[in-house]
Formats: sequence, C-alpha cells, structure tokens
Amino acid sequence: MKRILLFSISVFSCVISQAQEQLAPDQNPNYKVSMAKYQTGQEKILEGMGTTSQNTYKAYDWFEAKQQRKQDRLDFRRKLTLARVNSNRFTDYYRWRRRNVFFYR
Amino acid sequence: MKSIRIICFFSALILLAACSRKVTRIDPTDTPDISGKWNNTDSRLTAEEMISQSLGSAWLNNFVQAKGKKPVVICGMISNKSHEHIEAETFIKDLERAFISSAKVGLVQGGKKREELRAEKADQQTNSSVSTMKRFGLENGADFILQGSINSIVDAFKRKKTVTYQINLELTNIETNEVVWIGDKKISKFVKN
Repeated sequence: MKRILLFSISVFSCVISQAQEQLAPDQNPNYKVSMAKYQTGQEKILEGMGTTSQNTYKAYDWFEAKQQRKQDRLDFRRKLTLARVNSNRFTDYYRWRRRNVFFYR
Repeated sequence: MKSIRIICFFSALILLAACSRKVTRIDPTDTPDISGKWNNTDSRLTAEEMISQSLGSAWLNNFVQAKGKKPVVICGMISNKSHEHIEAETFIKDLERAFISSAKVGLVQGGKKREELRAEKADQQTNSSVSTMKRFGLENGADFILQGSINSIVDAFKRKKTVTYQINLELTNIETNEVVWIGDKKISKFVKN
C-alpha cells in the first residue's frame, strides 16, 4: 500500500513538472539560456526605471562662448593679481594696486 | 546736520529699493519664455500631445479586442540626449495621470518606488497582523513598457540661435518586443540674444 502511494506521488509530481516545462506554441526551446542571463543582473538594469538618464552634450553657442571667454579673461586677471600680491616682490598691495590700476582693471 | 540726516535717509531708501525682490505668481498655463531654454510650457505641450496621441491610437483597441482587458503599462527609462538638463518626469507624470483618469490603461509601479513597495511588503510579513498582511507574488504584470528619448538640434550663429527638441515616447509589448505606439513631439524655438 505504501509503495503504491509513493509511486503515485512520484508519477503525479512528474506530470506536474512536465506540465510546467511545456512550451507555449512557437516558443523557443532555448529560452532558459536567456532567462538565466537576465535573472542574475536584472536589478542593475531596472535601477533606472521611471527616471531620466542625462546623456546631454554641449552645444556650441557663439554668444555663450563669447561671454565665457570674457569671464575667463576676468578670472585670469583676478588670479594674476592675487598671485602678484602673494608673491614676495609686492609687500604693499595697495601701493602696487594704485600704481597698476590702469593696466589691471 | 539736518541735511546729512536727509541724505542718509534717502540713501538708505534707495538701498532698500535696490535690494527688494519682486515675486509674482503666474498661471502654470502661461507661456513666459525667458531664456529660450526648456521650460514648463514645453513640458505641458509635450504632455498634451502625448496624451492625445497615446489614448487615440489603435494599439489600445487592438489590445482590448485581443485580450479582453485593459493594457497595463510600466514606465521605463527616458533618455535625455539633448544639450540641456531636462527632467522627463514632468510630462511623464501628466501622461500617467491621463492613463489612470481615462480608466482605459492600467499602470504599475516600477523602479525605486516598486522596491520600496516590496520592502514594505517584506516588513509586513513579520510585523503586520495576519489578516492585514499583504502577500508576495500577487503583483500585476505589465503588458507594455513606456520608454523614450529627448533629442535636440542647435544651430547658432552670432546672436541668433534656433533650437529644435524632438521628444519620442514608445510603447513596447514586453512579451513580443513589438513596438505598438510611438509618440512624437517637436518643439522649435528661435532665440535672439
């Protein structure tokens, strides 16, 4: 009786597993290869879901470039002034500034 | 002495007036183009166009006829490949809201919000009462994924500039990879500095 019961359980489980393995019409029989590949790293892929990935580029704008050049020039002059002030040659900054005010405006 | 006081008073008044900031509330449907960059009007126009295109296209009826139920959509990634920082969530949320309010398209949560939901569900397994505990494995699977891209073309010379934005949204069947709908919106601007 026990044997019959065990046998019937094993047959039933085999039938169920086969039913689960059954392919849908026209389904690729090798689908598990791809499934295994994507089931491992899926979390990383799905991280950006519902978000905007910013892959922006810098467009050249003549006017903006001109303004940037002006700003760069001003920054450079400011840095130059500070560098000269910090150097040992100029101990009295205000005196030096008064002397060079026409050149570094 | 009196004249000095008057001068001080007026100079203080001028200083205060110079420092004051004026804030005026405007209607979100107004079109204040200030810098020529992507703004709320562009987002709103995109949302309106995408809503009318998506809910009026054939994919919806085709799916309902084939499956006998409304399609379920999940929002994927939107790629901004333009020259400006553009947050697509502003018009994607409008589109999602239209999906839900039309009751023609279902929506499921994705990304970090879904992770949060699952974490909450996991927490309920140990902390909630059995009668109120929500079970795993009963989520709605999406039929379609919404993905998209934002592109731009800039043409500038001296003080003149034209900018064209092209926004595309795509709905793809998750099982078959078939693209069933592509929404398109083009916005062009002429900017003179």
